[in-house]
Amino acid sequence: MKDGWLVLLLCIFVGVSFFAAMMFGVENYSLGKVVDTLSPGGELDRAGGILYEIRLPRVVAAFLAGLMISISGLIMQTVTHNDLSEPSILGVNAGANFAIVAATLVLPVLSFAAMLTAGFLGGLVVGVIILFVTRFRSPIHLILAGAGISLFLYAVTDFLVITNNLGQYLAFFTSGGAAGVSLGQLGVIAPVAAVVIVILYVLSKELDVFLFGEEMAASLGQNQRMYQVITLVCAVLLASMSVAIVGNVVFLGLLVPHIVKMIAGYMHRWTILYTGLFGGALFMLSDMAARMLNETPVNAIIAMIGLPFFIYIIRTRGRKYA
Amino acid sequence: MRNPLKLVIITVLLLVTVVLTLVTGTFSLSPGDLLDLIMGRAGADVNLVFYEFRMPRVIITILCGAALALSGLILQVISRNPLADPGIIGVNAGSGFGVVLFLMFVSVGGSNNLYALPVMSFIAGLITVLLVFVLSFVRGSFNSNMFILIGIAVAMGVTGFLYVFTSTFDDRQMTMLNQYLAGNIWGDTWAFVVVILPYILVVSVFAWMKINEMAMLNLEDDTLRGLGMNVNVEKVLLIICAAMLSSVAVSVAGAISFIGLIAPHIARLLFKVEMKFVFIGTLGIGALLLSVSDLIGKLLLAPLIIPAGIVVALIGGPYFIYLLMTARKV
Amino acid sequence: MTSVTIENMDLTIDKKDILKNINLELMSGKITTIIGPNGCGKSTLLKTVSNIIQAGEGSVYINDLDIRRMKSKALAKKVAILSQKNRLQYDLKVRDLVSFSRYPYLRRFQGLTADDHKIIDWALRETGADEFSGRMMSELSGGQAQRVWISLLLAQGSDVLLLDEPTTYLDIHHQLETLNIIRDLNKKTRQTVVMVLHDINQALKYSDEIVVMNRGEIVRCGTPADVLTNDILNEVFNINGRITTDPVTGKPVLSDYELFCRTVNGRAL
Repeated sequence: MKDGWLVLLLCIFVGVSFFAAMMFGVENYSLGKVVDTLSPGGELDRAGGILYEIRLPRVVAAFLAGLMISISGLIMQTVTHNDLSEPSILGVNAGANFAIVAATLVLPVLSFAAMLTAGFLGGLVVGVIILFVTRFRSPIHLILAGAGISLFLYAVTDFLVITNNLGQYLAFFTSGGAAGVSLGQLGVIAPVAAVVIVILYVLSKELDVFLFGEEMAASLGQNQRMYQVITLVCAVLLASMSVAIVGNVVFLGLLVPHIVKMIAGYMHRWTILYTGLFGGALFMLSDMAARMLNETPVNAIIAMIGLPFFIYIIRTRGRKYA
Repeated sequence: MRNPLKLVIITVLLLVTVVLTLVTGTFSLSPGDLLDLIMGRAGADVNLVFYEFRMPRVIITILCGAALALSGLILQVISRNPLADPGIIGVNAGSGFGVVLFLMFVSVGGSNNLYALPVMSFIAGLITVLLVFVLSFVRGSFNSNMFILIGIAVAMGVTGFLYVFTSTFDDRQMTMLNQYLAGNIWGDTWAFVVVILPYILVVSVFAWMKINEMAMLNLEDDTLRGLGMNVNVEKVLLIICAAMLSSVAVSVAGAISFIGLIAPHIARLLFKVEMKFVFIGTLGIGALLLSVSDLIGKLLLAPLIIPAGIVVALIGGPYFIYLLMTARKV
Repeated sequence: MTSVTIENMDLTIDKKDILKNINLELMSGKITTIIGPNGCGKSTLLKTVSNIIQAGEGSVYINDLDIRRMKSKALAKKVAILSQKNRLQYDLKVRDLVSFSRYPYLRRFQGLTADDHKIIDWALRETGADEFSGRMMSELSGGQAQRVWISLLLAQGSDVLLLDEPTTYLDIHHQLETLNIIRDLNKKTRQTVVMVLHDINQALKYSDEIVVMNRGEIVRCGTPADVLTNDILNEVFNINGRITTDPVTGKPVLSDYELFCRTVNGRAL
């Protein structure tokens, strides 16, 4: 019963966030205007055009990105048995980022799908290294591994950028943001994300078993390695798609699942849903705030909110890491 | 091989690198020019290049390499974690923040602010590490795992929100920031040498006085307390040394990572457990690594100059991954 | 002779009483063993005596001097402790490890003196660790490593030796070997020894005095024969035992034991 109410509450939250994000920004519009624009059949005036062509894709992109990052973080936390895992901390974002820049260099006119594929492969390589490294070592080892690999990959990316004069890429990927995403690009990402999330949902029972720890899971007869690989690939896919549209977002994938688990427990059947909705709404709102604050990069805003939160988590719950 | 001999070899390699760095570049010096320099009869242009451009840069590079390496060694000793590095735990990010503040509030071009940039980046770096340090106390005693985790978080967070302030930057400012973050050694005049040399010397000597404590931190904290060591006090003193060394290095040499990670590790491979040799070896290897990287960055794609920090990372990254794979317990 | 007195000691961590009103005077030159169930505060008591953990209330006096007034190195010259957990981050030569014991005597810019080396050699000889003093710690067996750690403790040159479960992780042969070393040393040097042990029979065999602790309090202390009663076994360990006198040594022995009543997680079945 409680879960039903939570879903309803979150849906309302998403709805409110969506309309708020549509209404407020560099220019503000009335709720009526937004509804008019979105309802089918109406004529679009200049403002309607801006709303439909520019703000709508941006808001949807923000929602999708927030959803993907948060779910990706949730899954990574489960798979690595570590509460502090998330795509940017593990270096998956850095891998995707590097691969996208490298691919852009090799083929200057790259289709969006090809770019996504490159990002996915780059993230996956890092993900596999991470999984290999974490198998038999402590949580702090995992975090250090991610930090080190990220530093390295960002340096390699810098190298490519400097030697090839790609200044604008650097600026985009380090600061990021949901601006400039087209509805066409979202049309590529949304179905893939949907499929991935359905797969994760189907595997939610297996994910629950992970929570018992490796030994217990093995004694329950789970083919761990296989499910670990499948779910990690899913998580990496979500993370790398988010990198392709909004750049590197830090801490969101940690913050959202953490709040969700505090309120709603650990069963993935529910947490996947909650995490996705909550993360999406949060990112829409952050992006809205970024627009209102003179187009400050949204990722910077999230980093600023996320840092104290992260430190709070480590200090209160991190006893087992320390 | 005997330990002193290994130190001699490191010194020789360092000297070779120094000589190569001094004679190569867009204005390359011939052996004849060198001879002239030694005899003191070289032309004004040769003198200028040699004494005003290259010499101070080499010295700064060596100093910063050694300082970063020693800082890494200290961090590894007190955190008992062979993967600790000043760059990973937030010094670079903090200093980068200092640079952003400088670009926003001070820089209006012109060279009258020569010292303002390194001073701001130094202070910001130092404050960051000390903040991380204060946050890593659990129930009144310093917790090294906490230190590393919070350091990483701060590094990530600060790097992320640096860009809040860059939305007003023009291209020139962005380029400067990016060059800095990529680890471009730019504080390369005699003025910097004069300030930094004594500073690094004093801090290093102080760290050297703590060499027994550094060797003994190999043991558990409780054992050390039983032996009469004030573990918290010693760690605080050492970490302040590490913070002072790394933030000054980063403030003139840009955000350089991995030196503090690799140099102590190689030194431990070479000198095993004798802390005195590990200490000196770390200094030497750090200096060697950074000067070699600077040389490679200069020659690899000349006339394009690759920042030394990137070269270090290109070498250091794979080494780091190798370490991850082999490190037994962390 | 160094006297150790614990007066009215209370310690609370996270609102849990770890030590409650501890009053104890250690017998100089004798072996005292602290026994008690898990979590009763045995190890904590040892740590407060060496000031690794600071007591909340009350104090510890070494020769009538409050340890909180002593410099840490001065205290280390009086009291040495062997922790339960002894790990090394990096491998070390045995002798180099033992030489760390002279830390409280070191002065800045001064290495080990000839006297220091003599004491280190003596400590290694006493435990028989001199046979392998040139080897690396990682090459040693558990029993050998424990001998090295005890040498470290000895070379610290303190009158009071505290040992926190010195026999854990050792097989029965090496447990006895370790305890014999400790007893022989005590006979020879007349240092005050305080140990924490889990095995009641070992405690009876090797101690001059036994302190029984339960829930942070001292329940009883006295000679092995005084302490080992069925009341104590019932009350403290929740077991029944048959106590006999060993015909050869004349010391009390716990010859058989069984749970007081069958319990799981403290609940009667």
